Amino acid sequence: MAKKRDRLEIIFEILDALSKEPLNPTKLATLVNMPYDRLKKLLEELIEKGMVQCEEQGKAKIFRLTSQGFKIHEELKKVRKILQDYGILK
Amino acid sequence: MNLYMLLLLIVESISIAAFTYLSILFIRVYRRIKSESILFYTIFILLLLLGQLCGILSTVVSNARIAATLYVASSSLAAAGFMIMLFSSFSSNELYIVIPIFIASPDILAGILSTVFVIESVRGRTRYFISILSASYYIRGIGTLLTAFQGSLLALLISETIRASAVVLLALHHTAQVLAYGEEKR
Repeated sequence: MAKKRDRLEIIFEILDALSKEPLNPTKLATLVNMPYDRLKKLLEELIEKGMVQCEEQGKAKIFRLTSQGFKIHEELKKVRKILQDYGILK
Repeated sequence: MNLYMLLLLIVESISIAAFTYLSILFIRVYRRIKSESILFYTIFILLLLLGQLCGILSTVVSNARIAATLYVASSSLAAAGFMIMLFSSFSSNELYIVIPIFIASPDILAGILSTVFVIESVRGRTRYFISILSASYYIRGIGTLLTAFQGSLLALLISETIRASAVVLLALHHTAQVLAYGEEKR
């Protein structure tokens, strides 16, 4: 059975996807491979912490990284190899 | 100080600097992400850092007793650090079998060391309090194993109660000794 993804791993994938380009919820959910209702909770948390911002473009929502989000993404990338070595991240 | 000791000190200092940098980095990441796995790794790194500090100090101090104490502290801190990392490596079934044995062993060791200490050195009423504390470590060790294998928390709860009571009694006893001395002097 495949090991359940760690919360950290999902956060990293969200930040990684948004660091490349701003995305709408459907595309983001596809890229990070998780249902939108679960993703929504995480996104709300990241918005609250000031890492992600949500813009309304007409009826559509677009999520993008804030400068704080880019900073934490860079820091996570720095420690990623260490965490992978200890089996914390895939 | 010979050349070997000097080289060892330099190497140890480099590791302490590196561990400190990593600890700061991981604390910063944890504060923003609040991920449990980052927290575990941060604690692991901090315990290794403290272990390294004790290790380096044990090679520097001239007093043999302090050096031996710091030496034991360095490996004990490292053991505690590896314990937190092991939790994430074992499956829940393995966790209930292997981990209690690791957790119980420092308790048993603390029990043996405190018993030897009581027999060899401790006098007066302090002897009773340290003996109770010592007993609590044995019960705690056995309690950990019983909790894991039988699922009963009773032994663990008893041991924690005894340990907490012994420490409180010991602290109050020593405080009373200090206060009584003040009264006598007056």
